Amino acid sequence: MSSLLSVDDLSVQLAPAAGRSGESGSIVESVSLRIDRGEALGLVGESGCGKSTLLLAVLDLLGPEMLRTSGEVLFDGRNLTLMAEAARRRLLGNDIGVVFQEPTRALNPVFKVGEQVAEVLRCHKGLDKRAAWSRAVELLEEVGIEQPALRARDYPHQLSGGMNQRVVIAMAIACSPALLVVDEPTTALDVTVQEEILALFRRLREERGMALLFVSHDLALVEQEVDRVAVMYAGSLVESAPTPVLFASPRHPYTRGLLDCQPKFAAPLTRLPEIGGVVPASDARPLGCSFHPRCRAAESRCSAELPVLTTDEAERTVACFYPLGGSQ
Amino acid sequence: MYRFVLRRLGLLIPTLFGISVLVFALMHLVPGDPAAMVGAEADGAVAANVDATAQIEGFRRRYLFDQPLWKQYLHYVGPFSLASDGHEWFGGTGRDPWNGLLVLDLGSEFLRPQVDVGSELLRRLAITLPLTALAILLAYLLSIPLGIYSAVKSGSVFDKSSAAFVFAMYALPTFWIGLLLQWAFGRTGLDWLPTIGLTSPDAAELEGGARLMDRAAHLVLPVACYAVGSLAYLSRQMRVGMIEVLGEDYVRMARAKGLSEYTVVSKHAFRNSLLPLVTLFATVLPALVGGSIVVETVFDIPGMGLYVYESLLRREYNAIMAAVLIGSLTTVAGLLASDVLYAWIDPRIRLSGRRTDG
Amino acid sequence: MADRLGPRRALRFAFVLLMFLYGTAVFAPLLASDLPLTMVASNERAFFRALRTLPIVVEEAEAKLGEGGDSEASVRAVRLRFDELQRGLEGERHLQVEELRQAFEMLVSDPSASGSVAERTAQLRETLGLEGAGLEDSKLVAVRSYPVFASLTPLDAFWMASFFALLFAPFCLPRRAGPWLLGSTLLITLSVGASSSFGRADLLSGLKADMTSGDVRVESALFVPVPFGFAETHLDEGFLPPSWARTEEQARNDSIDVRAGEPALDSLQRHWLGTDALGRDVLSRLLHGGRLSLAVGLLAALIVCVLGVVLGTAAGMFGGWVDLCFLRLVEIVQSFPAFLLILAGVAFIPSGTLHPAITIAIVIGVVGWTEIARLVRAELLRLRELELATAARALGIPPLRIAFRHLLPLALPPVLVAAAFATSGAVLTESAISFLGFGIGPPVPSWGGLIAVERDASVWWLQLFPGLFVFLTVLAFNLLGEGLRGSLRAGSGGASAMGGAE
Repeated sequence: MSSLLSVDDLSVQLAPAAGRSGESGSIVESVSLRIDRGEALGLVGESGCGKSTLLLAVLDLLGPEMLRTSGEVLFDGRNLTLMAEAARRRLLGNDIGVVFQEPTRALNPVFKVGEQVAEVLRCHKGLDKRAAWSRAVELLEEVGIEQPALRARDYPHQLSGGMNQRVVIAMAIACSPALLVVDEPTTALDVTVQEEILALFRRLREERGMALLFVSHDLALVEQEVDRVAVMYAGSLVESAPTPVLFASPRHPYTRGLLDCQPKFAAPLTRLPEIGGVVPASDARPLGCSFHPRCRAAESRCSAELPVLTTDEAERTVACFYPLGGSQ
Repeated sequence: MYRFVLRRLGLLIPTLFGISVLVFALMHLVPGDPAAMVGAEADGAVAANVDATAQIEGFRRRYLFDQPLWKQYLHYVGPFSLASDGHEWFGGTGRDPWNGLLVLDLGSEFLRPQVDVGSELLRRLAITLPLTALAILLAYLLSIPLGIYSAVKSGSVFDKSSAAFVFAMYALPTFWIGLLLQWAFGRTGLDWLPTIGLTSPDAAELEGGARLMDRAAHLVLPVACYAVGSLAYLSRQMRVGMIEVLGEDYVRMARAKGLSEYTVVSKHAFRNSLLPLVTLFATVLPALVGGSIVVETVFDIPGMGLYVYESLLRREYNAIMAAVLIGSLTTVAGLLASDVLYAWIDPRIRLSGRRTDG
Repeated sequence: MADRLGPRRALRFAFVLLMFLYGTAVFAPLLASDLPLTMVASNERAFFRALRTLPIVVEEAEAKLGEGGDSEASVRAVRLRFDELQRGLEGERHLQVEELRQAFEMLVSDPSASGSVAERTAQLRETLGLEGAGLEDSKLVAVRSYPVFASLTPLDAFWMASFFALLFAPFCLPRRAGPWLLGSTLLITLSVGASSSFGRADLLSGLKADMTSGDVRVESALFVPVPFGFAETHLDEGFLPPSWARTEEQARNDSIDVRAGEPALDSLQRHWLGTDALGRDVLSRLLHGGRLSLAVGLLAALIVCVLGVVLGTAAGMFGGWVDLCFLRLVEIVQSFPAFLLILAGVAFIPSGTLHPAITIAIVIGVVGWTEIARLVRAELLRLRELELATAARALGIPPLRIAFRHLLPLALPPVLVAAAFATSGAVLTESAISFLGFGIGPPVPSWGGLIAVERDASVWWLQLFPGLFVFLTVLAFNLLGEGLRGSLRAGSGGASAMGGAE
């Protein structure tokens, strides 16, 4: 088993609560993924498709409103879902690093940033205060923060969004994890800063050989950064393929639609195509294929049966009865 | 930081002025003539059934009720006394030139003119303070862990039952709690604790240690009664605040860093959840000083609360004005203190200024 | 708490509790009274009194009519007595009186007509029994009357009617008929109707005494469930424990006289919750006291809301120096010790001007408006920036109209929540004020006042039950507030459930 992270048939639902009646649909429905060592996987989808929830479920960081109802997660051969609390916590921060979407909110406002980075080191590497602090300063420098010794003494609200994101990245890579999981790391930042952060990821990956799980809604962004792309829609995986293959010839109509929606500089200025309709709410999903109401290629079968992921020769998987560019 | 404090202190002055005007206005614009009611009584005219007009006039003159309002206000604030025996500049004899708020003189009681309201209040404060201090301390000490535990174990049996319990406590009238406590633990109930007053009737005969015990035993029920109300409110605030904090991104980040749940709660969540509690601190000071009229009445404790009650009964205007004034002053001071404390604790306010390099 | 129960259940629970409390308060006169609901009786005393005084007033009337002066009152007096006499008689006697009456009426219409009615009156008196043989062998006619209902004031009736309206309205009216508008109207109605309890002076009619002594001869009477008036004293029955907690000897004290309509001495129904120092039934006083306590709570909350909404809207809509003044004012008012201020206000406003309950409500209102005002101001500041406000401004609608017609309905949900808590606070405050002796005085009962009278622990029933009712009321309003908060947050999300805004 060379795969580093293996997610198998993971589902997440809203937890039952007082005042809520009846069955609610799944936020995430039977998703399976695989990431090999050193590989970068992009997980793409519109807002509300469940990709962030999937990420939280994999790491077992779901809040009390949501519940993982099925599935297994294997990390480096070890079963995360069955693991004891303490063991799982030893992995988080140590072998798996996480970067969330809103950098300033991900940092505790009452502690200095250097302290927050040092904390990871003290917890997992057993360093003492002094050693942890100096290592933290080094890490801050590594992620591109100028005057790291001074910045380490600042509080999160005193730093810009971009700098805070760098701090969070420093926290994530502090213990040299094998896998880095990032959730929309640049969405909350300015465009100029975005490019810098992405370049940082590229550099870190190169230097440390980390695997990367990159969750984003921006398909074009992801194209540059990852080796393989997985597309999610309404809680399930609809297609996954190596990046060049996916972008060149997508097979799922949704992927096709997403790619068509991207503005292209080279093309003449015409009206941007769009995918008609809206993403269904989790408790109002249509029967059969979730995408069929909005799909141009939908047939009668699509509203009755749920398509499953099938793998084809080019190492790609598609969940569609009538995939583009090929027979079923 | 210092500028912040100075600015707040500066803003205090118009507020203090406004308060003194309002307190004065309240007492002097309320319908009913204090002179008629109090003057006659004070001089025993009612008892003698004598025509009290002369006494009433004398009373009016002595306390300046026959002067225009603005003069009365000036006399009230001071520092110069406008009374007949006051400062020479204002036509007085010069015997007693100073008086008024600015020299910390709160006047004297009408019915017992030899009693200075200010010193009487201090005496009463010495009795009220241990009671309120203990009660508030108890309330905070109990409610913080209760709130935290309820929040962390949100949804559990403990949480649900303690939420229901606290909710019910919140709805209990204070005097009823006092009465119930007296029944339960007093002579008609378990007879574990004394229910009235500060000391037992035979306290004088007790020696040091026993006397202390006696004093302490008398405090238990009033303190409990006083603490119940705040306990309900505080623990609820703590719980709500903690739940909110536990849902924040940085708590999730802390968990993602692999920190133990204990560290996440006690280090990351705790400090942030205390912040809203600091603003509640503003109510602590007035509660400390003012005491509770109801608790002291039920348990017959001769403190500030009971003094206010007696003053209301006896129409002691000076005493009531003083009590209201002190109440507002402590509230304002408490607000200031809590703002300062909050600013000091929360780095977001203490240090401002952002660096903008990406 | 509501997020434990679920807001809807909290609301339902609160509703049930409040309906019970307010129901018993509104219908207290029909539940606990010394007057019977209905009775068939003849009032001997009234009859003989009328008979005795008839000749006198007839003479007086004749004299006045003869002079040609103002005889209005005298004639009326005569007519009243004739009514009373006729009421109690039938058959031949009735006709005799009728004749006399007609003679009198002829005299009234034509004062010059001769014939002394007074002489014939004297004859009638003899016939009917005041001097010698007469009525002893024939009884007076028993007439059905409804004493309790007769004693209700119009405001009482209004309050009872609006209670039913409030109860059944949700079922009768279409769903989207501006439920908030409806609710607030009914609440206002309840508050106004509640003031009916303020106007009543202590009623202690002598009817029960007359029934007991036989001056009113009763053929049948139906009493209310608790046949004791709230001001009716039973001096031998002072400090009686509740019926179910009584010892044998206490139950069989023969020196107590059982009055008309009252249950027997050893029955459970006699003084369910015991009596106070003067032998007044605690349950009755509790029910009637509830009228006052609950009414003060509602009224105070109403004042708080009105003041708060008006001032908060002004500050929020106009901004500038209005807002600045507002903020300073709020700061100063909030820095005053509220309870102390309320006590002082209640203590010093002379009792002649207004009914003490209204005074208390006003004082609580004037001291407590700041919370809601700040809430409204904050909401308006937020709503002012919304597109609908900008659109309204663009259409040229004056700012006041925007505020009250368009924005305020959207700002209402948190105000309603605050209002519920304000009511519970007001009830608590009123009970504390009455407990300390500054509130509503005896003999009019209020819950806090009931507790204050005796503080000895041996008469536990005097303190337990009123306090319990206060507790239940406060609990109910708190639940209401919590339920409103939960359901308003979950459901509408601000705008959608409103009937008011367009």
